[in-house]
Formats: sequence, C-alpha cells, structure tokens
Amino acid sequence: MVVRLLPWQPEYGSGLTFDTEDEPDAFAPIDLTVEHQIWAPVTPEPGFPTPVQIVDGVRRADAHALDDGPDGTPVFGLFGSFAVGAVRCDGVARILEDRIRVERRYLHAGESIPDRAISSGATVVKFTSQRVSKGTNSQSLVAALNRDMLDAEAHLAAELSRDESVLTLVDGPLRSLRSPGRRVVGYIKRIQQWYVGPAERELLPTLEPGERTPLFLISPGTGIEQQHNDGRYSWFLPLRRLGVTYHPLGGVMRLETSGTLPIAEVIALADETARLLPGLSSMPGKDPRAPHNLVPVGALETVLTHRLGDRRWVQRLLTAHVGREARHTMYA
Amino acid sequence: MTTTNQSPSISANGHTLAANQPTSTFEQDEEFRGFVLGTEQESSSPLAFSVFVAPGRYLQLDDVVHVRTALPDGRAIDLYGVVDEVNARHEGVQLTSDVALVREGILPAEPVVSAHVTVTRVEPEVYVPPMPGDAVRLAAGEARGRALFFDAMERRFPFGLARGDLVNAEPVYGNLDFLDGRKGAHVNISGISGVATKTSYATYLLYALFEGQRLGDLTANARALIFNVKGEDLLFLDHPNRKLDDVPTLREEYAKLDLPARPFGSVGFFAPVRRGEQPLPDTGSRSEGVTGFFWTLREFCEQGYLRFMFVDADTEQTQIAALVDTVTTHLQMEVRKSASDKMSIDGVDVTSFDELVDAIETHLDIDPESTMPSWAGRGYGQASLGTIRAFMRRLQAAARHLGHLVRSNQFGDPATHRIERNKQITVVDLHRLHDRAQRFVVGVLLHELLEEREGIGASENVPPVFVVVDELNKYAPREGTSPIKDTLLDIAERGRSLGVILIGAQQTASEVEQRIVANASFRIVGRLDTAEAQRAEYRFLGTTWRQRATLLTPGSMVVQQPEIPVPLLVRFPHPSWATRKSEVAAGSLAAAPGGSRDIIARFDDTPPLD
Repeated sequence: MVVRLLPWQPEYGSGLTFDTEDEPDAFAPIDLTVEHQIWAPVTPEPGFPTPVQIVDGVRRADAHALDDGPDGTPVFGLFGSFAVGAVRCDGVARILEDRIRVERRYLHAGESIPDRAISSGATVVKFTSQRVSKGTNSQSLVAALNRDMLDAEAHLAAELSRDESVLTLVDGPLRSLRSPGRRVVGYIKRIQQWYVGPAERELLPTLEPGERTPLFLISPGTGIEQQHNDGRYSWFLPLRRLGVTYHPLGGVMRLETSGTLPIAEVIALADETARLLPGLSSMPGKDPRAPHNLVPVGALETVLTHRLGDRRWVQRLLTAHVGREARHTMYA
Repeated sequence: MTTTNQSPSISANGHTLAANQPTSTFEQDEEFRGFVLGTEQESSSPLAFSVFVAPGRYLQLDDVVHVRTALPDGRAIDLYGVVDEVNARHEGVQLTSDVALVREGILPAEPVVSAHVTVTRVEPEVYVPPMPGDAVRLAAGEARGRALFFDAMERRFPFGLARGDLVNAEPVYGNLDFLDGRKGAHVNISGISGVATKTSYATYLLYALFEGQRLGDLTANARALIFNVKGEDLLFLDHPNRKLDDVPTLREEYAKLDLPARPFGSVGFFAPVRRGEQPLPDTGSRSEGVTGFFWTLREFCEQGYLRFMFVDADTEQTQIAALVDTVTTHLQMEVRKSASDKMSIDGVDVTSFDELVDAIETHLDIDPESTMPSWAGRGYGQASLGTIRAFMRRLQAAARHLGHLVRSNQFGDPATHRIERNKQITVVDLHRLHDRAQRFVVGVLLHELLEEREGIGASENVPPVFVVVDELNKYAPREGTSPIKDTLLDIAERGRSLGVILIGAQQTASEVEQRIVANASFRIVGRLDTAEAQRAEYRFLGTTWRQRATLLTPGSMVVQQPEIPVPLLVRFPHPSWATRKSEVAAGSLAAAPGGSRDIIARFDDTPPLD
C-alpha cells in the first residue's frame, strides 16, 4: 500500500469521482477492439502540435431570489450570468475576443415575469427572464443556468468547428452539436466512470506523456449521456509526469469523439491529442485543477470571469435595483 | 456588459476628443497616446494618474502630456503632466514562468504598457481627477509650454534642451525672476566630480544670461565672479571652441536655445602673483591677458583679512578666534599710525608677510618682564600660552602657503594688480594655490563683494553679480563655523536683496550647510552617487529621479525650479567656448596678443606649491 495524493485542490473536489464498487460490466457494451486487438500502449508518430481552439464557459449565480406567487406559494428565482468563449493556439495563443458572449438570466418557475434592465450611469445590465419548467428548488435553477451555458458552449463549438484546419476541443463529454465539423474532440477533466474494466485500467499508470490507450467504442445509449445515439469513440492519455507524490491516475484524461466518424479519422484525432495535450496541461501549484485544466483554458476562464463584471458590483447593482422596486411596490 | 461614456463632446486643438468616440478616430491623431486608467491599483487622481498606452503608440519618461476632462456641467478642465514611470507587463499573467508559456503560444496574454503621470498644472484650477477613458495626448508646442508654466514666465532663460533628438528637442526654461532676486535667487548644483559637469553647467548658465542677453537692460552692467579651482577649464572662456566647426549640430543646438554660438565676449582673468620679485601671474598654459593679483600688507591689516587665514571650521569655537580678533584690532591701529602708502608697526616698516608674522609673534610675547605692549592681553583676558602657540602655528602654516599674496605696498604697482570686476565675467584662477590659500582668496573676495554691495543699497535696478563657488562643502561645511561660511550664509540669506546671486556647487549637498542649499531657488543635480541620492537633501527629486540621477550622463542635469512641481531633465550644449587650450579653435590664439609666446606653458605639470 502506497499513499499518494491526487493533484486537484480539494475546493474543486477531486478529478476522480468514480465509485470503486461500480461494477465494470454495468456499462457494457464497450468494444475494446475497434483499433487494436490487444490492449497495449499506442505511441503516435512524432510531429508538431496541431493548431487547436478550445471552447469554454464560466457561470456565476449572482443572487438567489424568492417571489410570492399569485396564490401565495413561494416561487424561486435566480439572477445568474454566464460567458462563453474560445482560445486559439496556432503558434501564438490568443483569446478569440469577438467570439466572447456574455449572457445574464433571471431564471424562475413563475409566469410572465419581464426582463430586467438595470442601469447604472451609462451602463445597462440586462437580465433576460427565463422560465424553468421544473424550477421548484434553487439547485434546479443553478442547473438550468449551467445548461444554458453548456448550450451556448455547444453552439459556439459547432460554429467554430466548421473551420476544419484547426482541432476543436470542447470541455466535458461531447454533447450533440448541431452540424459540427469533423475535427471536434471532447475532453473530460473529471472521471466519473472508467467505461473500461479493471484489467484495462492497469495500463493507464504505465503510459508516458505522448502515448495513449487504444480507442474503444461506447455504444449508443450507454452511460450518463443518453443522447448520443451514434455512440462515441473514446481513449485515455496521461497529461504529464507528476512525480512520486501524486498517483499516476490523477494525471489521466479521457477524450471522446463522435461514433459516426470513419475509424481512420478518429485515430488521427486521437494521435493529435496525444501529441498536443501534454504540452497544454497545467502544472500542480500553478493551477488548482492541474494538470487537467489546460493552460490556455485557465487564461480563457480568467478573461470570461472578468467579462461577467465584478461580482460585488453586480450584486450591489441587484441589491439597489430590487430594493428600490420592492420599496416602491410595498409602500406605494 | 459594455460601458458607454456619455460625457459631452469636447474639443482640443481642433481634435474632437469625446470619450465615446470610436478608437479608430484616434489613429489619425498623431499626438494621441492612450487613455486614462481607472483600475483599483492605478486609479486616477487630480495630482497623478496612469495612462493605458494605446497599441502602436509609446510614452517615455519625461514626455509631457495633456488630458482634457469634462465636469458634469460640461466645462472642460485641462490637466498637464510629465511621465515619470512607464511599465510593461503581460496582462493577467501572475507567475514568473508564464512568460515562457506565452512565448511558446500556450498561454494567451497580451503585453500592455501603462505610464504614470505626475500632474504639473490644472487649468482652470478645479482639482478633479481625469476620468478613466479620457484621451491622453502628447503635449507639444504651446501645450507643452503651458504644462511647464513657460507661458507664465515673463522673463525667462534657457536651462537647456529637453531630452530627445535634436530635431524635436524643445528648450526648458527657468523663470528669471527667481534667479536675479526679484522673487528668489541662487542656484545649487550637486553631482559627482568629473561626471556631473557642474562647473560646465554653471558656466553655461552664465553664458545663457550674459551672451544670451537674458538680463535685459541690466545685462551690460551685470557681473559674474567665477573661481577656477581645477585644471584650466575656465581660462579660455574668451576663445571659440573648435567643436563649433567640427560638430555641425552644435550650432543648431545653440540656435534651438536662441543663444549665439561663440565664446564669452567680456572676460577678465586674474591669477595670484608668483613667488619672487616680479608681479607675474602664476598660471599654466595661458599667460596673456591674465593679471597677477595680490593684496598689500596695508590692505591686509586695514581690512582685517587676517581672519580669513584661519579658515578651519573649528576656529570659531576656540580661544584662537578671540586672539585673531585682538590681533586684527591691533593691526588696524598700527595702520592708522602708518604713513598712507606703507605699513609699519611700532614705527618700523613691514615690507613682507614674513616680517608681519615676526612682528605679530613679538607682540604676543607674554613674558611679564617684556617691555613690549602685549597683543595677547593682560590679566584675566590674557590668552594662554597654548592658545598663542596654536595661533602662531596656524599663522605660520598659512603664511607658507599664501604669504606671497600679501605684498609690500612698494611691490610693483598695487593698483594694477587688484581684482577689478570691470569685465562681465571675472575669472580668478586658483588652481595652482594650496587649499588654504584658495580659501583665503575666496573668503576675501566674497567679503569684499558683500561690503561693496552693502554700500550701494538694495534696489531692483542694481545689476546683479553672480558668484560661482564650487566645492561649497569646503567653504561652508554643515558642521562648525568659519569666516567664509559666515560670508556665504550671508550671501544665501541676504544676497537676494543685495543683488549677489550665489551659484554654488558641491559633490554632496548633504555635507553643505543646510541653509545655503535651502535658500537656492533652483536646485540642479547631475549624476549622483547611489548612496548620496538617498539622502534627505534630494527628497525634492522624488523616488524615480533619485534612481535616475545615478545614471545621468555628462551634459544632462535635472532641474527643480519653484513654479514647476516636478524635476525636469535638461541637456545643455557642449561649450561654444574652449575649456582647455587644445580646444581653442584654430587661428584664435594666434590672433590674441602674445598668443605664440607661451613661456609659462612648461610649468603646466608643476603641482601646486604646498
């Protein structure tokens, strides 16, 4: 028994959230032989890292609210903001400034609630009213905000991926993109399930950065993401050597791409990621979610968070706005 | 979330400068440099603000900038300032090694530049901060003049050129009212010897005032007294510098400053007489046109110059000072008993300084059996034997070094060997004199000058006399008192009303009497020693300039003047007069009388007599 650390800072949870008692066959059917008959390390041909663009988003709950409904039942509300954007590395790393989108929502389970435009001096902050069908508790409103952000991310990724000269990376499991290009890969930072069995997992700690596992096919309708009707190709790769302090599984990332692509194209994509991602991975001590939170993405998140506006300033604006409105209604 | 500033449209120098105008408009504005910053760390204030320097533009230290901001009622406020710091960084990058990631194209980050501006002027005087987002423009021409208060200077003189290439360099002016005594007076220059070019700069200032005719009606009768203490720097002021012909841009620099490029027109040279029987000036490579000077024994005793022989800073605190006074009084009484053209003591003629010393010694004999009246006093007032011995030791030591400067009334024609200030510039060459003798001459001359001025009385129309004294730390050290220090303090404190303007210089202002430095309207700094720059005396420089002062190159000075709240960097042109014989333009010496005869040149390398 050797105790080793997992690299993520605990306030971000853990990069490994799988349950050790999960039965491997619970996630069948998995086809491990789509690329090779033997489950052994794959070492791609060396080459230059491909130009890449990575899509990401940030969200923030600005204020929770509670409204007295017409019949006296409480109606939850959430003022929230999110921003999505992309960073491109093709020799120079740069934020695609013109692609950044900032949205603000007032999410609620009520009826016919208008948009709220709060102005302060020359600045107008607009929270679009949006009804959430099952928004009966505050968590579901936060989840709805998250969904909105993921939708916006998917929308941006689909749009950007039409430029097939660049590899497009999307944060999280690959969601259904509307007419995406052919070179889109989803990367999963937090491993909730392995899909492969314990015997196959033994290969992971032995991989060196630059190598990867063979491809495996996750059949349609499998796992958490039920909407992938075509199945997904997936593979693991180690991001960087973490030294003896950290467990090697703490540095592994899973990637996936659409199951509809020809296998040769998928192999090429997998090889590209094996060459590219170790160089983009972050170092423990520099990023709380190292090595999974890629360096360009960390910078993108900082910019996006910044674009949401200062948290205290937005809260202050909301406080003033809601307070004035309430005073007006209640004491008029 | 987009911020749109709805401040009213404002116009400066024909350019529309509304904060909400598209940035592309600024691209056509040549003077545009960036926008006022308003971050937590770099917030804007009425006295200082930071500028985001627009991509493709740059601001450098010492640039003069202008911002027009608007009050809520629409009135425009003009703020002017000087850039005193410029910073570049990768925005959003925090870790040291991130710079490598940015270079490798992994970490997205943009380099940004911000400049810090210290406000020099606000017009009208409504002290509001410029608003973040206000456009910042380089102040050129008239705007620059307003920023630096040049427009408010009715009478001004050129301190030098601002830094920059010659084509764009603009003059930096000083207000003459603060120099010639109307509102203030005196200049103090600090800096390391050899690098700081203190004497050259002091000479340049005299040149600007006299040859540049900046003193107006008083120019013709204004005078300057300057001591040549090191080398022969000042002995060729009346000859053009060959660089005027060799360096083509030199004349342009003088033209930029609106000054002629030529030697000084009216200079009188004086050097102490040599030891021996001929009243010849003791100079180096120049002998023609130099007058040898000395004082007569009678003058020496009558004016009480004895005390200037006791110049050590501690003299005043000891019994010696009292004895000096007593002896001086006795000598003055003897003068009254002497015939008008000679000096005698007890009816015996004194014909040399050694004889005077002997006479003094004889009169200090405190042997009770002696029949001579003792100058050492009697009874309780009598000086102790120790005091008398200390007095004599110092007197004899001084006599060795400067006895030859005090001669019999029959030596040559004394009237033709006085230092007369009948030329505009009077150069007194002391470089071959021993330190003690140098201090004697400076002390006596300053004292004479002050006495003479007190006789004239104060008036605005008295032409000023500028006195250049280098090594102030030697003449007016911070600790102790001495007759010269008293005289210099007198000039510093009352000189303004008497029309005596002190241009003092020293390596280290921290070693000079504070009141002398504090009384100077203009404080000028050349290159400073690193440790010296941190002393309290240079607080007026501010943090940035204290650092920069240790990097100044010869020919560059930092000038602090009363009306401008920030120190300014100036470059002064290479002298248009020769500062050594080899610099004298061809043909100039030959034309001068006796130029080819250079009989004293062979003494060039002789060290000063000790």
